[in-house]
Amino acid sequence: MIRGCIQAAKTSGRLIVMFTVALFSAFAISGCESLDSVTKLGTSLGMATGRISEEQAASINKSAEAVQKSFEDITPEQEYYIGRAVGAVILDDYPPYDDRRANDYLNKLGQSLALLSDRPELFKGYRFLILDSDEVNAFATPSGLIFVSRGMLRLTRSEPDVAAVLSHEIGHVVEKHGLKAIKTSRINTALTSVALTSVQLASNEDIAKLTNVFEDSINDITSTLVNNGYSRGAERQADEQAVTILKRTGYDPRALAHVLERMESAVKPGGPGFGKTHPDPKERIKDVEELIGNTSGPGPNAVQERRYKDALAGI
Amino acid sequence: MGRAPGHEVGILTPPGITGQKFRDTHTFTLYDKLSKVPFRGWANAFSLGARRFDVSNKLAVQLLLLAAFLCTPLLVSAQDTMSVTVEKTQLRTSPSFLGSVIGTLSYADRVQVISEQNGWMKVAAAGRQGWVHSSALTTRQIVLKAGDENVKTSASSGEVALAGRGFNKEVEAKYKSETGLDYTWVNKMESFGYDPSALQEFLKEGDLAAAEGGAQ
Repeated sequence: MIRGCIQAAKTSGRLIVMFTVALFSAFAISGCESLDSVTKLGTSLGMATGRISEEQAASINKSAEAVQKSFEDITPEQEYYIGRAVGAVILDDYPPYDDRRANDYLNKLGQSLALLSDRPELFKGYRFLILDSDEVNAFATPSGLIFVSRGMLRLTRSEPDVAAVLSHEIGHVVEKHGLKAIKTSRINTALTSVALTSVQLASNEDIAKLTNVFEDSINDITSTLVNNGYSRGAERQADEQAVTILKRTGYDPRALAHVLERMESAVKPGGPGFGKTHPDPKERIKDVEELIGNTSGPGPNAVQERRYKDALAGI
Repeated sequence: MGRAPGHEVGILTPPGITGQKFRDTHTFTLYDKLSKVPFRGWANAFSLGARRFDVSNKLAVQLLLLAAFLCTPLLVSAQDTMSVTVEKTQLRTSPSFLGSVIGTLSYADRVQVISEQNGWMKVAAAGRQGWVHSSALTTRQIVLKAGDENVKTSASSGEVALAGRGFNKEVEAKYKSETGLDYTWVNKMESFGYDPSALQEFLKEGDLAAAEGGAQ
């Protein structure tokens, strides 16, 4: 009897040890899977080794998050409202090209390409619109509204060419270049103040304050898109995304280089549109050729030829 | 590379180590602590157990290990709840946009993550299992209405996102009235959306996206 009890005690002792070990491994795994992985893994390890208390860990995680407010903290829902405003500003400068057939084609093609990107899901998805402008230009808002000018589409010769232009713009959305153009100080103000007051419905004063930050953020993005352009590094990232999308979809990625070559002869450096906001196509062609390597793909097939002509012959 | 999905999901971070591999590493640690010898496979570990304990103990150890291993995924999955961060998304039979749609998920819906593959998450939601692209999910809990207890306790920690918070409809309305911008075509553009099935058809007709079996 006594022996049995000792045996049971020994077993339950082991049970406690084992469950403790299992619990800590589980916490270490789950801590690692959260968004602020580095900090939280660090604090959970600290807790596991008994060096810091749970309260201390929580406060370290909180203060780390307080200073980490950045474009990554903008939720897709907020990104959606930012994108709509940027779209409205662009459409204030450039009239839409109201041709249903052409715009439908662009949307079917563009939305298919977006499915094969690294960021297929947005709050309300990708949408495309042709701008009634001879200028060679294209824009992408953070929320996936993508605009391409008639001038740009006239530089294309086939569906893979159009796919290359759209994929480059999708690339900017995937890389969140638009959101990155917003000054960090604004995001800090916007997200920290709302995070703290979000429990109650925002007052008129809050809305007014937020709207000011919103307006400044939109200006940051549109001045980058329309006047200053992204850095060469950002353009290279967008080209890289474009090559990935084209390869996955089954288009010849060299189409991107072909469009750039045509842009080089059509666009004057420093001229309006792309010439002003994009690096010299010559440099981009070099980068793109490096990205593509020896990969090639089939040329456009009969169906692609037909639908391209049906939609964009009169562009 | 799946940069954005990697970030959103935050699945197991050490570079090059997949979720399964990480769990294997933990299996290793667990065994190491118990037996004080390096783990060289199940058979080996059990024979070591037999040498050190009598038969009843061996059974107890086996049961306990089984219990521990059954508990570990439960604890992990409790932490692996994610929320839908886009307005609408589809639950699919396979990790690809070519997979058949078996259900629709809406903003703020909660899902249990089962596994991950090339930017797709296998999830359980509303009694169903299927695949969702990780760009539609966030580790934060999204709460649709203010006043929820969870929001009160953790709004400032960033674990909970209140839907409609920050840049929202109200801010847009005020911005619109202040700037006088015309949103007509922005709204029109939003109506240009195609069903996934129409896009699949477009790709198929053009003899596209078949080489790799669809989206990655």
